[in-house]
Amino acid sequence: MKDYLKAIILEQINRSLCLKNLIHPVKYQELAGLAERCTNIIDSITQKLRSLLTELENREEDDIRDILRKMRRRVREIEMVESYGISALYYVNDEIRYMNNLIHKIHNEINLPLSRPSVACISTRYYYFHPFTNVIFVPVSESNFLLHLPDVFHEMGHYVLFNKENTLRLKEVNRRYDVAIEKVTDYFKDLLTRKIRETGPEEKPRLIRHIHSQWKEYWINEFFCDLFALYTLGPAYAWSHLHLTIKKSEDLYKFSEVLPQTHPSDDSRMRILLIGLHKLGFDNEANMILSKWNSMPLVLNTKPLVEYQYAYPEELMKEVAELFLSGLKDGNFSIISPPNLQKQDSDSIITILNETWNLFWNNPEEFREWEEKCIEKLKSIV
Amino acid sequence: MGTLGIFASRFNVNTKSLEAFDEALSFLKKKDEVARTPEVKANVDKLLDVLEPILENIQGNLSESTAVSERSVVDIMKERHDREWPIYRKKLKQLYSKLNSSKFKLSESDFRLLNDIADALDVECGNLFRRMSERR
Repeated sequence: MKDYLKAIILEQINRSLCLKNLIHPVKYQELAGLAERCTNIIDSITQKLRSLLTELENREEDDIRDILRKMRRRVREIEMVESYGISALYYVNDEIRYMNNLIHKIHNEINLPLSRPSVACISTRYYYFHPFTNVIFVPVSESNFLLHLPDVFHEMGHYVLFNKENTLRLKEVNRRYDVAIEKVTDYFKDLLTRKIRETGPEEKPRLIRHIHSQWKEYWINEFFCDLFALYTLGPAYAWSHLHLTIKKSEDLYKFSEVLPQTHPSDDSRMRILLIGLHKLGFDNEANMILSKWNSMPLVLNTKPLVEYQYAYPEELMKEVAELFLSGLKDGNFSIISPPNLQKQDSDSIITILNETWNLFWNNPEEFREWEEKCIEKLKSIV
Repeated sequence: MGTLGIFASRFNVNTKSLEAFDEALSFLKKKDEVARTPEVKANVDKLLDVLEPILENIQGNLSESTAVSERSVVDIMKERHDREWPIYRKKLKQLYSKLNSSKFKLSESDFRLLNDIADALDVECGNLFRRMSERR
């Protein structure tokens, strides 16, 4: 087995070196940062694989369980840098320049205390951020539209979450995040104790444990990123959530008593966004959004499961929304409010995206014409 | 965020914990009897970061820790040690107490148990990695 492991490690070293060869020349200067990140990742993987070879030499045949695990970790890393780093450098066109500069401008406007993430327009799965390479993936034609660009702010929220433990300016974000987890756990611990005391069905405690685990592993992060986008961009993010929901949602109150659910329900996400809007002082906008939301057939004709009542308690959501707002304020992020939005530059992306949504509602027929002109202007600004 | 990013995020958290766990395991393997020096404590803490939420879950409690996906890791361990689960559970508790004592000596079977935990965590990392790569 030792010989076989050695052969696999050598194979992976060769694969890493081959990937490194694909990084240069970098076709666009805007991707130089990503090229450097990929180079560093590959160098680190290669070095770790070489140390593993030395470690393997000194081991007995029956003492290699950890070496196997380490080797498997490096294999996964190589696959990740190939899929979510090198591919973004390899498949590029001129749009990449505009999108990366746009992100750079947003990065400055919201006062993000991290290096600029890169963008790749090659996603086949809507918007997502990959933390290993710091790349935000967006669909191929996204640079021609504005209405869903607010989702970039949500992805930046994931970038913040990812770095909250190792960035000094994110210390308070990190602390408030831990407090939020504590609040969530305390809330469900209390509920669990009560349900165990009651002589109800045995399924209830199981359900509560399941909901707690969903909050802790997935939902708290999504709520953070939704609120991050809302607090830094404003109502445009809530509008874009409504827009995405009406186009794509299968069930506003999606909930399973047993299956893992990576995203909180669309209903709960809108509820926390409305809480956030009121906190920022956007009461009129919150009422307008709620009115549009309530008139959607998806809302009018669906009711949640009975168990859904346990999943998203209003008080807990309010506490979480408050904690994240204080964390971001203390982290010196630029937080939006009605007066603050008025004061923004007319060229600011934050102003443009909020204006986009006003225009979309006021004049949907001529919206596309305006949008095209606006993107042309944006391309010249960034 | 699409599901890919969500799984990438959980994958990253679990992988970091596994990496730290393996580091601590290598460190303790070289020791004979272990007294609680600061260096030892730092390494034992890395093991406990993984072991604690697992034990909380086994005992039916809710854990605040986000270091590992403990529910899935426990399911993997249960599946692998289905027949001896009650004894296995007891061994995990004993190992936890030992790691919390002021002076201890880890036996061959303790290391086997620690490697079992690491293997289960590695499987969970693999599951998250697969889900991250799935087109949904």
